[in-house]
Amino acid sequence: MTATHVHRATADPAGEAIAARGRRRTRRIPYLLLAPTAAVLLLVLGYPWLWALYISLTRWSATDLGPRTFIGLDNYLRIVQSSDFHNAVRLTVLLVIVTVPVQLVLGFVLASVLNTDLRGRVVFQTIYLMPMMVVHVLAGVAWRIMFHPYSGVLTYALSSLGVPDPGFMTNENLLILTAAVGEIWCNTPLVVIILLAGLRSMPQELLDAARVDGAGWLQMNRHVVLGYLRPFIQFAVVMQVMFELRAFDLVYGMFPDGGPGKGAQVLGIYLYQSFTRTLDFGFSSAVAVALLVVTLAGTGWLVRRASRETREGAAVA
Amino acid sequence: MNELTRRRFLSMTGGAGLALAAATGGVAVTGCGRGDAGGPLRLLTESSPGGEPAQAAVALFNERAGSAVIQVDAVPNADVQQKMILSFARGTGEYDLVTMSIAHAAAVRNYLLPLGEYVERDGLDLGGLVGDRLVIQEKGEPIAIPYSQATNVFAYRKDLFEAEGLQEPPATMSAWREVARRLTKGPAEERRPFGASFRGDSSTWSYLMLKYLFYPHGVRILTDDLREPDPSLQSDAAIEVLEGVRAIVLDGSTPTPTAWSYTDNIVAWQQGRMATSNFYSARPAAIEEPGTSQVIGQVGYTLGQGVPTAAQQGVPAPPAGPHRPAYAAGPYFVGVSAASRNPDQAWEFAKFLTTDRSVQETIVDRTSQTPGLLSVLEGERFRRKNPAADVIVGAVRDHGMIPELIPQMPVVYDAIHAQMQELYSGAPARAVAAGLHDAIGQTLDGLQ
Repeated sequence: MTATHVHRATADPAGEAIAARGRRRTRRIPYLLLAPTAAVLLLVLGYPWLWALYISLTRWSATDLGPRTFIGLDNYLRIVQSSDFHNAVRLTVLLVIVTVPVQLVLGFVLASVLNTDLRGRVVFQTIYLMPMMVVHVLAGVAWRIMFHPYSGVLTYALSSLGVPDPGFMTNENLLILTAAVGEIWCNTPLVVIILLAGLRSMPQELLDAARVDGAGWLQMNRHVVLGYLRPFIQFAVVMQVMFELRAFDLVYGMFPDGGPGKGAQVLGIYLYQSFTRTLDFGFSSAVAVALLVVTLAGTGWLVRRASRETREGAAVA
Repeated sequence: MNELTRRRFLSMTGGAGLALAAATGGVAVTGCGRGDAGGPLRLLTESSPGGEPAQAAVALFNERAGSAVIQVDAVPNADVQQKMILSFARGTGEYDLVTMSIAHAAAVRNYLLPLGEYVERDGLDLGGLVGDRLVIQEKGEPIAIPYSQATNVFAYRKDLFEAEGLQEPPATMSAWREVARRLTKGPAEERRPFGASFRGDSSTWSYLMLKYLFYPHGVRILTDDLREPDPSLQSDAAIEVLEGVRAIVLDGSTPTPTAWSYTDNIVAWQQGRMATSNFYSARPAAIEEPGTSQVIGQVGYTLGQGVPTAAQQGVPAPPAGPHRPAYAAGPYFVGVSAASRNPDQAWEFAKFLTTDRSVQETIVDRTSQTPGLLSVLEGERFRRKNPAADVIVGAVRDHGMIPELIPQMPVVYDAIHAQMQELYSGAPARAVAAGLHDAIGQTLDGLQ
């Protein structure tokens, strides 16, 4: 059978022109729909960022009445040479490495529990998701009180079990792990929500087919469930890495000064203190830009990798 | 999309855009607009407790004027400096008056109106204040005037001293170490009481703790021009102080300083779990609060360890630094914004707050703060209100108080904080003294 190409003779040029205008208008519609939001975002986000970028290239201190002086990359040089910045980057990366895997594992377990017909599931769901509704800085203060070496309920409970306080709030090498406990408590519910949505969207046929093929519980979860949840997990990883790179409020509630020996001075706290300590607009703007770069670097790679895997998966399908 | 839908969409979008533009413009006009010259004055102060005196004074001022001549914007202490700086840097005249602590005053000194002309015109005697040295000057003119004072007092449990057969509170660091060791009772995980305490959970408190101890020993932290670390930081007197602190901490007589906050200390005192410590002079009322405290009437107060106390007790004087022994000042100031649209009336309130006797008495009656007018400080009203009144008067009248006013004090606090943490961990006092001098020097070099 040969392919038959049908040529539609264009007998009406005017009609074709009208149709072409209509097609152009149709192509413009998505941009028109996005325009108001884009305008607001440009105004609210873009302008301040451009301004911060400009200020970061100047010497401008709130205590100095002199005019702003363009100094190029001097502020960035100060950051790169600052041992406090290196410490903050190290602690932030450590926080991400400790919290994100734990949040994923815990989130998956909790989401799996909530995806069953467990009696009282709604009550458990409310309890598991409650940490998300707490103001993070207050949660940080609460954790600080609970870990207090002399009056903390957690340290008291441990001491009654014969476990002395290892210095949750005083040992500078442990502070970031103490902060990680609070971060995990606060941020795991978001992972639960994402993974629960994934689990609930999973077609039952996949599981049935796996059972028919003789898959056990472990094989089912490992190859079927986690495989299906892969895009959801990737999304959760990107979100949590982004949140932990920008961690501030809960850590500040626990360690307002960055903790003994600056053992909890993550990048968010470093940025906050860079202004409140020095009143230097230029330097603190440069720190803000540096934090943005770190966040983009950390999450950008993850997003690109996830997109590539999605495209490859779609191509195979 | 058909024509009707397209028109509907465009009109909705256009309408939404206009509404947004109108709202944004309205916010901009409102936010950037300067106050009406004839309208109420705006005062920026702390919400509490540092802002209590100013707020009480505003209530009285408005009462006498018969209308709300002054409006108060009270914000948490941590936000005051930023709010001040940002409003002053914008130059919008948002505030006419501002009350501030020493650190805040140092940060905004460039934005305050010189008051010399007003002081001279009204014949104001700034020497009647608690130490005219504490008036902040810029190029020889006063720019902020203290209205509320504070210094350091040493508190001790009279009943515990009596039980241990101790006659006098410790006048030297070595005596304090001995007293702290004797008074510390109970196992390490549950002392009841602790013999002493140092607050080191924040850099501000590390600085204050050091100031409380150094000044009465004749040691200073900065030179008079505030540009360099003072050489006395490495004197025998400074090393004696640091060694005393180190020994008290390592003896186990104190809670871990890096985890011990200001609030922890007050609560511990109220619960009878603390035997001695240095205190901000406004706080004795808190540690003996009726209905809360278990130590009412059992706490004594002195000037603390150092040359003056040793002289009073007739004990051998500790090593003395090169400076005159004095006490750390912690006043609150009031200043008039250089961008105020009604500076004359703003000055009237500033004068009222700082020198009106009834206002100063209200500060004593209604708040836990210390007045800034010497005559009220020495009067019976204050003596009745604050259990440590005699000590405070002695510190002010007999020995004098010293402030420090550098623009970026928090970074200097940080430098001190790091060194004090080394000390609490057991680093030798001599090394910490050298470390303090070098760290502060490097920090100040970085600021200039």
